[in-house]
Amino acid sequence: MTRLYIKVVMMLVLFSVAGLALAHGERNQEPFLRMKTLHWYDIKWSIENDSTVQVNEEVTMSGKVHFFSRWPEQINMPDTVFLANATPGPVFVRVGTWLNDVPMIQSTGVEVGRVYDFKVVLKARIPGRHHVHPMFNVESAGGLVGPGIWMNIAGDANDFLYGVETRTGIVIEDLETYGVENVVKWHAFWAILAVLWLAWWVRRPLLINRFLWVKDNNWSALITRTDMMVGGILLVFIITVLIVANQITEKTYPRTVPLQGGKVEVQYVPNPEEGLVEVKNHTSEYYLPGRTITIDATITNNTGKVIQIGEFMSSNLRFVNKKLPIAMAGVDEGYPAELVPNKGLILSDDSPIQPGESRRLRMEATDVAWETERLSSLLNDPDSSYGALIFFFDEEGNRYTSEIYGQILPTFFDK
Amino acid sequence: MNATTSGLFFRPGVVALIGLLIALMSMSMSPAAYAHGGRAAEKDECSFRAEGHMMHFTAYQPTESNREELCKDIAATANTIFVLDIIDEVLRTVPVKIDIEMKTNETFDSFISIPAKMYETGSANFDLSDLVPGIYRISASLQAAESHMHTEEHKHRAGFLEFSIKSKEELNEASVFEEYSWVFYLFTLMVILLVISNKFLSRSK
Repeated sequence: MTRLYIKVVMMLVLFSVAGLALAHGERNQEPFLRMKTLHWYDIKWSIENDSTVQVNEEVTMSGKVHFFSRWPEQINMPDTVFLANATPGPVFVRVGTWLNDVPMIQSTGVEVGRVYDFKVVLKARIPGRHHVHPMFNVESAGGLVGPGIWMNIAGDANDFLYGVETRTGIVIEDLETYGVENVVKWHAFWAILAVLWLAWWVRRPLLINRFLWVKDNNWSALITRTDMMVGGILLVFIITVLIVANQITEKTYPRTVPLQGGKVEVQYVPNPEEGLVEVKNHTSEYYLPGRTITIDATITNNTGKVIQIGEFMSSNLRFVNKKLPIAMAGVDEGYPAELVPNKGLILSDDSPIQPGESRRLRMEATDVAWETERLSSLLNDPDSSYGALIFFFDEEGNRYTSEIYGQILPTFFDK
Repeated sequence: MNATTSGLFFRPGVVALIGLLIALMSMSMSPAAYAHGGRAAEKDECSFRAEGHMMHFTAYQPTESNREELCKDIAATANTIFVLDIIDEVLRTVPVKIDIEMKTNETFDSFISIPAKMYETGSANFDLSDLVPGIYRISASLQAAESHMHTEEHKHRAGFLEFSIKSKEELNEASVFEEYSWVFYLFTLMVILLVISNKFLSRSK
């Protein structure tokens, strides 16, 4: 009765702290994780936002991911990362992932301050409406997700088939069920053996008698000759089964590759335009009532060409300079609207920046998304600093990317 | 086995009590504790729906409480900044009218009315000063039904959120009890559980 009582109480504890999980779980991540780790851009999906695919159809997500150079000190450096996808459970099967065209079957290590091309291919499995993101799992930091879109899967989950042809020509109709029968048989065999071994010991008095034998130093009564004989026979039997089973397996699957451990190496692609546009943050403020981040920064143009500021991006939010057509052209039709704030990026001086010029200006990024995405809670962090990318464009349409970061303070005064 | 010789924390009644304490503390954390940062805006007690569209109300009193986000109980001080976040993306191109009404004799009369306009950033803010203590409500109504693809027959129904303006003294008195009332309830429950577990233990001896 007491144990039941305790179990009921423990269940109450679990029920009281559990909650309902919905989309946009990335909002629960700390702002510093979302702003100063990964910046995803040029994301393309093979289907449109909120469109429908059938069970067994494949979809592809691709784009670029920038590992921020001011990586947070609170988490490990990205020496061990794994490219994956964020979905509400296995509603898609991950067919393959690539980073700079290198298959990401294993984990890898990346360098901060570098950009990598990624690609994720998924196969639709469970019908429903699902929010799907690309994601990097970073050791000690957890999953860091990129922008996501809604995908509807229609059809019957029972129709899902994930077939492959091995390199030796064996055709496997469905990986989900391949070899499962064999696994069940062997599990049942070992389970029965284990139960028999337990039963051998449990059938005799266990606790009180043995306690008394130990008390009387009657060690030989604890394990009898019959016990040792049965144990010996079982040992020989098990080893024999293992040898025979291994031989059967070798014969059935003569060519196997061990499950790969370790990490695969990925080289970053050097960017010849890196550092050509220097950005220095002077002050940054968050105007709370207006949901506006204001940044006072100096931009130095070392590209040798005339450039303009096109976009300010942080935590998957894209504040685009709407006065610059080439920047607007970079927003694909169908890109999630909640990630491209309406008002865009406002500049105190949006005239072109000449080669060699250093210009100090103010940038304003206003949207309620700072609140709904819970990014403004960075003001409650011991390290209230932000990180973002700024995209510049020259007259030929070339793009230059620079990082910007700095401390940010709250204000109630709209300047 | 003699129950008194076992460790205190392994006694069944104490285990049950600790577990129940944890459960009650979790459950007794009222929605107020989740407001503004503890929960997503959509699940906040300061959120309300206007014709099915989510709105979120916040008030700031920088000179009194710095960045603290208020909504249900606001002190009647000199300067208060009201912010209404229009969370649903679709409303960025729909004119929204904001009204604040004050309760007088069981009815709500207009206090401030902000004409309908579009809020492309999804947020509206305005300053109010010298608020008189009382019960108010902030409401949002969506205008221009045709631009929002609704017919004239299905007019938008304004949604609202009630809040109170209280004098500082009233707020301090009420807030102490409201903030710590759970302690009294929990203490009462602890006493009851201790009595039950003691009876149980003495019976099992």
